[in-house]
Amino acid sequence: MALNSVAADPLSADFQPRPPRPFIVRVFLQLVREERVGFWGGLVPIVLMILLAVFAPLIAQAPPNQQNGDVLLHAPSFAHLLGTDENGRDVLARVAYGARVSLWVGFASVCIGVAIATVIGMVSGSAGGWVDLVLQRVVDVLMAFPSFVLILLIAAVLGPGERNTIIAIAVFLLAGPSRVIRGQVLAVKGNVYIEAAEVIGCSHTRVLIHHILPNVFDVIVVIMSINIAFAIITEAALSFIGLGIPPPNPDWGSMVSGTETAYLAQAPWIIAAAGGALAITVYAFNMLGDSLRDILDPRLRQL
Amino acid sequence: MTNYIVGRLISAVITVIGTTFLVFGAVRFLPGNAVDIIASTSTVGGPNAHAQVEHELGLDKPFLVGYGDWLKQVATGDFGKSLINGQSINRFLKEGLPVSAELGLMSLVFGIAFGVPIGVISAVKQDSWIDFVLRSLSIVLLAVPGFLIAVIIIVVASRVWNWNPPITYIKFTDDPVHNLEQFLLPAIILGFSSAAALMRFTRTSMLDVYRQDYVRTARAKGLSERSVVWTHAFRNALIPIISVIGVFLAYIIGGTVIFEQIFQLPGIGRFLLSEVNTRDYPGIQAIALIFALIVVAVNLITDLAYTLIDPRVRY
Repeated sequence: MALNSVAADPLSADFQPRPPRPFIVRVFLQLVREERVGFWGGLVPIVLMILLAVFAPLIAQAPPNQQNGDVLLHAPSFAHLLGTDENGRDVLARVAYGARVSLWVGFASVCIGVAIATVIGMVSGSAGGWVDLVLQRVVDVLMAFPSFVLILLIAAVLGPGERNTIIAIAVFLLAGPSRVIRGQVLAVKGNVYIEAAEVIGCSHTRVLIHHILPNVFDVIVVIMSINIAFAIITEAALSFIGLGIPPPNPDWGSMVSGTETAYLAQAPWIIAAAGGALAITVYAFNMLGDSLRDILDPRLRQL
Repeated sequence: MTNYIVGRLISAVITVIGTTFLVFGAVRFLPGNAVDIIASTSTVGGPNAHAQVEHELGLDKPFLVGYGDWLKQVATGDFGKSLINGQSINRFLKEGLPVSAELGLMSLVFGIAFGVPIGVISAVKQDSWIDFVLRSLSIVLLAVPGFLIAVIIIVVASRVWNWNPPITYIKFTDDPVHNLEQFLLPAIILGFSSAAALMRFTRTSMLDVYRQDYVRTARAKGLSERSVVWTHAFRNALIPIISVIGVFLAYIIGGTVIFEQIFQLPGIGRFLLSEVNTRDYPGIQAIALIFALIVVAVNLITDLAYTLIDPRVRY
């Protein structure tokens, strides 16, 4: 009885199929419905970090690069909620502005890298033949380098700086993701609806964009969410060894570095703040990535 | 079987050629002013320093000619001279390689010694509190990068015990005990912090095997749980684990670069960093190529070992 009112008869003349919900709404509702702890555990810290980055000028009690000789290595107090560093700079300000760098490099490098990887993967998977062969051998070569060594090599050629760090990480992200997307394209290509589209005369481009892309989209989203954590860690590691964001720009990786750990030992709040922010952000993106993967494509467990 | 091995060897050779191409070609993407920067810090010096640096990097020749010359030189095991101080790169490699190999192998052993048993225990005690604690550990290790763990440990050691990592390096041949002592801490931290992915992978692989009929058969015929876990389940779970050892090693190699810097170990990783800082490309090319060759070789070996270990894989 009550069921009848919900499920309209698809065979009746006035049946109106409900328009599909936008991707983001669909995924969000599914994540909420399944009450995944990991999802909230990931989303909440990410939102907090984004707020910290956006409102950095309001939250910071001093400009991030303002040195103050009177408050060198001061412990946390009301004047400096997270203490000060060896140059008397406010640690909270540096952590907040550092969040801008980390999130921006993370998002930008993953968006650029995975976008190009998608094009490579789709071309490779759909074209087949020698195009596929050549592209996949290039991917083999990129995958032959330990990730950090390849990124160092690219960073060494381009030089330090935010833009170059983004490029270096993005280039690395071409390899793995493009191979996964290619595999997915190959799987989708075998479906009857692709054949049907070809039979009714759709062009290759149309098949690729309107029929294959929507079906590999879930995988692309999972790959992006998983790799943001990787990109943020890599950026911090590059800055840690002095090849990422050049000082005195605030950055979580360079904050825990210092050529000597001597003053870090005197001021453990610096590591606690910068390292904590880094660990929480990476943890959050890992959690979110895991729950997105479980919802969208459990077969990707091994990623 | 022979076909598979030959095919796999050919693809490894193609990959190696590709890596040499990339390592040599990367320098071609240098921004225009980079040569001037190198020339200004280099000992090549003189009025024609710019041309000299371009010559050393093979930038004055057509790409393929330069590549051919470089490849010929590298094939004989000669990686050329540093642009900064004119010293032979091979000398640094000879000193640094044993250090990096020691750190890398020790970390690999520690990483496997942490990751695999923890993954097995986690799977055997699935959904118990032990599993929960161990899985939380792997989640924390995934979120806290190795260099952060290393810095925290050094800071704590320096505050609590007033201990600092030694600054001078002791050679194994001079004093094996102190040498191993020096490597112990970085290797444990690097191995442990890299082990998270291995833990999760082992757990998944072990759980897969647990659902197999032969495990039920082993239980049904009354074998002890220990025999079921280790002889029947674990040995089969190991097969997929072996295939990811190459990936794990690549991860460890990336870690040694940073850890040699943190713990002042004069390996090729630390050499690589100083080369990157001074933009001394011959050294960077040499080390990137060596690391890539190691990864290609290990991946080749694990792939071939796979076909030998797993009787189901017959090509």
